[in-house]
Amino acid sequence: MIAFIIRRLLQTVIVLFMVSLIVFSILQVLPGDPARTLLGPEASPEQVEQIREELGLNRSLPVQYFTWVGNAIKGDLGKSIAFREDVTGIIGEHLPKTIYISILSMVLAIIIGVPAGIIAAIKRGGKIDSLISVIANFGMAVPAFWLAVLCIYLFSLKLGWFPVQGYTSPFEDFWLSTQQVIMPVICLAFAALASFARQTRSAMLEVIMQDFTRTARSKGLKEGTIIIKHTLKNAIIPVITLVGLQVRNIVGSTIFIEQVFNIPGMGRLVVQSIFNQDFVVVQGCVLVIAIIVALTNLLIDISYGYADPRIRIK
Amino acid sequence: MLKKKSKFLYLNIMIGLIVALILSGCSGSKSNSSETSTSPQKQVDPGKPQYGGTLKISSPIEPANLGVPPEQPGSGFVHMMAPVLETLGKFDNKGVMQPLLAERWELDPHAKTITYFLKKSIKFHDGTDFNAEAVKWNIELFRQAKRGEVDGISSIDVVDESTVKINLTEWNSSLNNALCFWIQMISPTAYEKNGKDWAFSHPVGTGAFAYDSWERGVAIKYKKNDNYWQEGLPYLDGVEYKIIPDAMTASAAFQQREVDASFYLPVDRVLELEKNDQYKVVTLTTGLGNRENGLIPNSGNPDSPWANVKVREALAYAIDAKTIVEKVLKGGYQVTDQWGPVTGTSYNPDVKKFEFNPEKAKKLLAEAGYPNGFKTKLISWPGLQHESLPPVYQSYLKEVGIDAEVVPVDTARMYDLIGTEWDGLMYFDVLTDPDLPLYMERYLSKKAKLYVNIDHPEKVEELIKKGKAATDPETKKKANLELQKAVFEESHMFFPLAVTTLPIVMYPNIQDSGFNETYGNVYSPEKTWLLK
Repeated sequence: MIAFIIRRLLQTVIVLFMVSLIVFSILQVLPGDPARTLLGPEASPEQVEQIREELGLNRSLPVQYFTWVGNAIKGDLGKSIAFREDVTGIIGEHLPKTIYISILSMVLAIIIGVPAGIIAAIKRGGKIDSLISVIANFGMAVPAFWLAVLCIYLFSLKLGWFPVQGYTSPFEDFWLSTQQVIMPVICLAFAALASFARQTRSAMLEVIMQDFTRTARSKGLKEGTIIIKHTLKNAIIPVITLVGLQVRNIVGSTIFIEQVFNIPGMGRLVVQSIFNQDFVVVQGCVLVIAIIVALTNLLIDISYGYADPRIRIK
Repeated sequence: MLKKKSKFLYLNIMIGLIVALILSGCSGSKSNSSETSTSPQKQVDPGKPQYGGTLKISSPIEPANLGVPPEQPGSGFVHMMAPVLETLGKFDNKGVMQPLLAERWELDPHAKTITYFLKKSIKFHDGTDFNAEAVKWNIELFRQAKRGEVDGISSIDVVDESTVKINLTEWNSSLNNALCFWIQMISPTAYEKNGKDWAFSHPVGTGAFAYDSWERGVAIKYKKNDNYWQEGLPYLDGVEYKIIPDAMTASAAFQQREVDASFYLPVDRVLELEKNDQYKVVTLTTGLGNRENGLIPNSGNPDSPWANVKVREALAYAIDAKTIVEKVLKGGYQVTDQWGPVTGTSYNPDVKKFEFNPEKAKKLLAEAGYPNGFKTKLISWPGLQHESLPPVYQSYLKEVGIDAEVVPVDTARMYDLIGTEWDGLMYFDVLTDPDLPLYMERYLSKKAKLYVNIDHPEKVEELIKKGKAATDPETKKKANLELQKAVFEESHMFFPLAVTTLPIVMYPNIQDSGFNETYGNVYSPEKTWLLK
């Protein structure tokens, strides 16, 4: 197991290096000059040149890239071109907010989606199954940003239940914080919840038909015990795989959701930095997001062995 | 045993990770709240200004820096620093510069000097004296940054504690306005002690409010300066800018009273909110600080059809500006055919009108040697409110035989083209202040570093020089009017479509803010109060 983890971590380092190189190259290929973007169209060429020199943008591209990589290995992600602040600090301010709403969304999606899938499977062909299937299909078809706009219109403007936008730490004001995160979390969770429900239903149906389920029933075990201890345990592997995929989807969707609900998380930071041509911040953000996704996948892989002892990681 | 141990370790890692992530998620500071804007009132006479409350303003954009004015891109963010940073003077609603931090000034065209006599006993928020040395230091900072506004200064003399003399290489009638408007005074002590990077996010000025906090992309907060030099001011406890990039969210936040006023909302949102009597929309009508948009041809390229002045004149006849503003831009803009709005002090009513006339345009194209029209490019810059313009321009040009291919570019590419060369027509968006020598020199003269790809008629160059050298207001006004004629009637250097009126949506209980009463986006935070 340890060898497996080390091998995966080494692979992750290579992936991160490739990701940073691709992001750096793409940002360099894009037209425009970060110094000019920073100063605006009315700045004189002398002003622009002065800033380029100050920010080290007049050095060759390989020098810029490898300097950045060298510092990143030491934990220094560089200094933002636009804000002149340490990228590590900027990410440290934004990342927790994204993680907070992402975790809440994932938890919500799992605690509603998985039981809904189980119920749909048990009540296969019934009204509840149809209802859950319709909701799940709707959830997968509806884009998160559209749902966000709809939520603002309905729950903020019409009903006045929740604030339109903003983020407050729960340590500062728990009630306000809860009010502010409800809509973004629901919007982020909806598609994931639908996927969990569909996947759980399908996996459960497959397992319910297996011989061992019939044997358990014939032994006179309670239905609840059969579902939880035997059927669900055997059906959970595809759902665990889905958790890994949904982490990526939720992190990706935060870009839209944070924009609409005005949450100062990583999504908004990335968008803002792309517009500012602040490639140092974009690189830092992509690197951190890539690390999170890679570690999540690693945890998912490790989880398989615990959920199903038949699977052995070699 | 090993299996149990691994399971235990795994569970611990998972629990630890989740707890750490949740805790770190919870550790951010409070950013946007839906708390009410006003604090308990200290004074209840409804006829007089009332103390207290925080003015909350939403903006879709924020500056990259708050405390280093020479590195500010344009005038769009001036209002965001206004609560903290002040200038030597301030425009009144007639466009005349009035003293603010200066007591008065003396302009001496013959001696080529401008002398500022400063108000006494003013201090920066860090306790540093605002004096002649501080003014000199601030102007020098602009010179070091190579800002065009301070071109032509040969030296700066500190005459005494409150008198500073600017010596010029040649007289420039625009310089006083430029110095008074652009140079927001910051504390030299704070800057030198903490460095430029620190100053970027820590403005230290003399204003009615002091810097409180800035959470990037979220909010900029200012708190009342209890030692403000204007006695009895300010009325507010604080000013807060909330950064809300999404127009729909900003509009909804305004309706929910999460902010008191909204800047830079798209016109369609403004028109929608305007229908509601609860809200007030104030637009800029003074002609100061407007941005103008239109089309600028690559007339400096001799191989381009646009190098021929008759082709450029045909452009003026080919496009129906009035209909575009009315039907496409749907308000929020005023039609113009010159530099600045029709209401501006430099507008010349004697300049020939080029009313929409496609037949006349075709005739001019034929005279220029293009009876069947020609192919060109139309470089468009998809800004917030102009996405719909390029196809409209394209259809008008098609009607007179000009086949324009729309080439959309992003902001960064646009900046590149502005400073180098472009092919055909390009979207044009500039600050059109009534001080024509100052601003036309910046965009349209041979000396300009922007829009370098255009023809530079000698007459325009001479008039800019004449306007700058003017020693009295009448001569300057005359030069301004002549410039309008030369640029728009004789040379057709660019096609002007409309000026934005910078609508601000606000709740009517905001009093004496001065929003849009003088210069675009400039207001008086020190005098603003909230009616409770």
